[in-house]
Amino acid sequence: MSDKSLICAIETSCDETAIAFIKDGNTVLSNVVSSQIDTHRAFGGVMPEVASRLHIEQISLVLKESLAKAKVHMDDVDAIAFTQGPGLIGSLHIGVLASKTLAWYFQKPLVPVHHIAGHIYANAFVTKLKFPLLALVVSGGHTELVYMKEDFDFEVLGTTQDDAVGEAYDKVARVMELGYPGGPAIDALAKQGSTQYVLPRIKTEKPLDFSFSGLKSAVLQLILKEQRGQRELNKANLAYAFQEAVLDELLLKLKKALEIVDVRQVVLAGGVSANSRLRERLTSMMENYPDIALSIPPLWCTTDNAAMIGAAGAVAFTKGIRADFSTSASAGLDL
Amino acid sequence: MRTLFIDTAHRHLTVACVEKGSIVSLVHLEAFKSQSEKVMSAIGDCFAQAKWPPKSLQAIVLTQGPGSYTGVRIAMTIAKTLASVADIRLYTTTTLQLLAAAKDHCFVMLDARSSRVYGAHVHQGQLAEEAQIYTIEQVQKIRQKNKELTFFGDLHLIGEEDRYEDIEAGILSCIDRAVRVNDIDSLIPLYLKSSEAYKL
Ligand SMILES: [Zn+2]
Repeated sequence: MSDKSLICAIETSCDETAIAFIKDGNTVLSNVVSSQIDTHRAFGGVMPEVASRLHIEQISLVLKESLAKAKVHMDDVDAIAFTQGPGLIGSLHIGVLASKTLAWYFQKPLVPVHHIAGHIYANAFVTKLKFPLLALVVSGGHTELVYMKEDFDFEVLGTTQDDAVGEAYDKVARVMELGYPGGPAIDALAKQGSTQYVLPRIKTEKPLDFSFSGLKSAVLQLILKEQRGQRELNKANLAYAFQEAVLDELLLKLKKALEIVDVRQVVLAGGVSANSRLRERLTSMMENYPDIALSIPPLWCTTDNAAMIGAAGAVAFTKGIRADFSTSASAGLDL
Repeated sequence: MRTLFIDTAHRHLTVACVEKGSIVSLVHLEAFKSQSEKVMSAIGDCFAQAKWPPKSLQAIVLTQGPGSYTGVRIAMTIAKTLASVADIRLYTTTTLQLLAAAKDHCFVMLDARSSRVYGAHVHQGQLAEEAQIYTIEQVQKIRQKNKELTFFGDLHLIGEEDRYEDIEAGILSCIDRAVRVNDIDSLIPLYLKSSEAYKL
């Protein structure tokens, strides 16, 4: 593979305005991300209208900075890759329109990319993907097991029935008063915790699906029970119990999937892949599968960014996947 | 100067190529909630009709609002993107100016949803004041007090037939009165309502 290409990639699906220039599918020439996290922290979560407003404020700055850092000219670009969905519709619109504008002005092909494909292909920056592969996608909006027979062939084996894993972290962090975003806060606090509390294990109808809302309610019940009993809550131990329960669920379903599909590689993807305990437990679990390679994305490429869209876009570009001017952003786009 | 005019804030999508004070090509169509799918093809068609290569573009005049939040951001994204990668001057105007065109004296109004409108008085062909939010009752009062005043825009909101000025006159009146944007990065839409109202 690794065809020669220069991709301009644009990602605005949630709360980051991001533009990257990617050479040959795995070399980052620039990767500029303007995060809105500080604004959304004040609201305790991402506010869609606020996110759209911040994207329109950032788009020209991010584009100019990314071009300058990459030291390329738009005329030299082979294609414009963009996140078509899923995500917040108002946010997606900005990136989709900026991409169409560049494609029109510079007469370049447009390559639509699914956000999750981007997260999976973030692994292209550290390894050569080996197919068939199984991806465990964990983020604020997604929890999925994705089977890929070959490049750009996606089959969702399991998905969450309620909250995404990152969402569960955020909600539990809120009831524990740990602030937003919840993932890093719980991960850090759990390091100081140990076994004290017991949270129920989850059952789902389909064996490869996930569910986290029961766990979130169980945490709430436990806090209330401790309050009623006038016992002081050990937050570190609760964070530990919650995190272990979440990871048990993720790894159990991954194990079950590995019984069903034969793969050469397991890749971790999505914002929650930055979680240190997940990395640790997944690595040790995969030691039991010596024939299956494990890829964990570099920390810089776990949260939303455009480099990953460029990596996926480079593959989609060589596969001939194209969008046109009538292509629209899709909040609920299927993989 | 080869100028692209864009308005995406209203039910209609308006795109025009304008040079030396005259309209070379124009696309004006109904595009309720489909502005973002239609706008680039409309621009492409306009340029093809005008026989302008995209890179011959020198200036953009866009409506900064008020109007649909998603809508105003469409034209603005296009303008800010182009001005970031090419030597293209940006100028802003308002949707109310487009609707009022060069009418000497009138009241112009645009649906702001939730029984409210964006409105302004027009004197001597331009907005006499900054656009404001009015309730329907407030507009009706203005209507009753000024029997001789002509009303333009989304008049169905006050029980009359919508009335829009000639679109070509509207575009030219906007271009005449447009204001140069010096700092494209800080250009933002004219929302008129704060985002606080959209917390959830
Ligand atoms: Zn993501």
